[in-house]
Amino acid sequence: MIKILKIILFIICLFQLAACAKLNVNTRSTMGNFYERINTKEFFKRGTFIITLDESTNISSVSLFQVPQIVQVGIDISECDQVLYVNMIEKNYLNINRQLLMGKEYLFDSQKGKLFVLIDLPIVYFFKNRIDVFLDILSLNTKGRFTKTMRKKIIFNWKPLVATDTIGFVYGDLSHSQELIENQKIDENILKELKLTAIERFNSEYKDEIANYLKKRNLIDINQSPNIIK
Amino acid sequence: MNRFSNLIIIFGLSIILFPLWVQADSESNLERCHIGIIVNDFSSQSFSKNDIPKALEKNLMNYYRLDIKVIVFDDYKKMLDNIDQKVEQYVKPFLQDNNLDYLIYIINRRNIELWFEVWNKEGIMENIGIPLSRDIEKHLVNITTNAFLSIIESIDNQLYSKKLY
Repeated sequence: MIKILKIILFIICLFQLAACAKLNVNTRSTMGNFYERINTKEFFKRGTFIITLDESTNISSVSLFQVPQIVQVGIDISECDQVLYVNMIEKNYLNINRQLLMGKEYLFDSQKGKLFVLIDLPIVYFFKNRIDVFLDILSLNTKGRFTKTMRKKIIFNWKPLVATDTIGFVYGDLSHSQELIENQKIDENILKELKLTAIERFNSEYKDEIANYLKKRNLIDINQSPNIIK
Repeated sequence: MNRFSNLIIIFGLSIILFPLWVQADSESNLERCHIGIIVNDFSSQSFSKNDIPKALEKNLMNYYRLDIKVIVFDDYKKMLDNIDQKVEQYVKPFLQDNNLDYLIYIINRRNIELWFEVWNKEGIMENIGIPLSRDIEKHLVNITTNAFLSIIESIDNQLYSKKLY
């Protein structure tokens, strides 16, 4: 009997430890330094596709053979001591205009003079196979005490490879490739992503496109699920 | 023997219920984000206090699934003198009385530096200072919004995980 009790107590201890880890018990002091707490290792682990832009590049085009991706964009910024904000904008279909989170979505390495931005690109952004993302960056040169604005445009093209022939590669899209949809678990990912999407922000034409795809693929009864597509 | 079996039942129940309670608790923390803002010393700048809540609400409402409310508090300068040493005395009761999740304080330090401080419910504070430049005024709303969102995330890791595509 005592043995059983010991085992139970051991299990309880394990659960308590797991629960504390889950609760993220905070032992920090009341004062802190924001920059010291940024976990750079975690940040650089997140990117699944890496591109680099030099300072003079204002427009860049990127082909992605598979989505979803988290694209890590490295941007050279000279004579900069601090990046004050990074705004991500997409105005064609998705109506994104948001401040990226410092430490989670962008990081500035003042020693290298390089800004790193993580752009989350789910499949639900690629019903038109292409999105144009603008990054508005405000940096500060503390020696000269002036700000500098930069706008970088990055065109992301989704080019899923569906076949090869004698001439070259054949790329598909959501409208026609059954093979692609099955191989890359497209439907499964789309349904998962839609639950995490602020779809009310998308423009009506784009929402219709999503709804038509869902209907065509028999993924959901639109009339019975007004919350997913309004 | 009977006492032992009762103990086992209690332990068993606690094993089953504790993780459920933890999960319920962590989920409830993610549902709301009520913010109080105290803005001081901006009278000389072309900067409206109400622009900050608008920008914060716009960012939070459109991209995070949270119950959002942003309130501006005026004339708390006296209360906030040496506030760093008086968290228990002032900040915690202030957060409780106004049913806030975060208290944000922004101050212009002698036109040299913008200083941002954010407290969460537990009284944990994070701060960030940004040197003021001559041409910074037109960007102030974006800068403050960014600083606040980033600090809130740094304290509680609540926003990034709730981010919507």
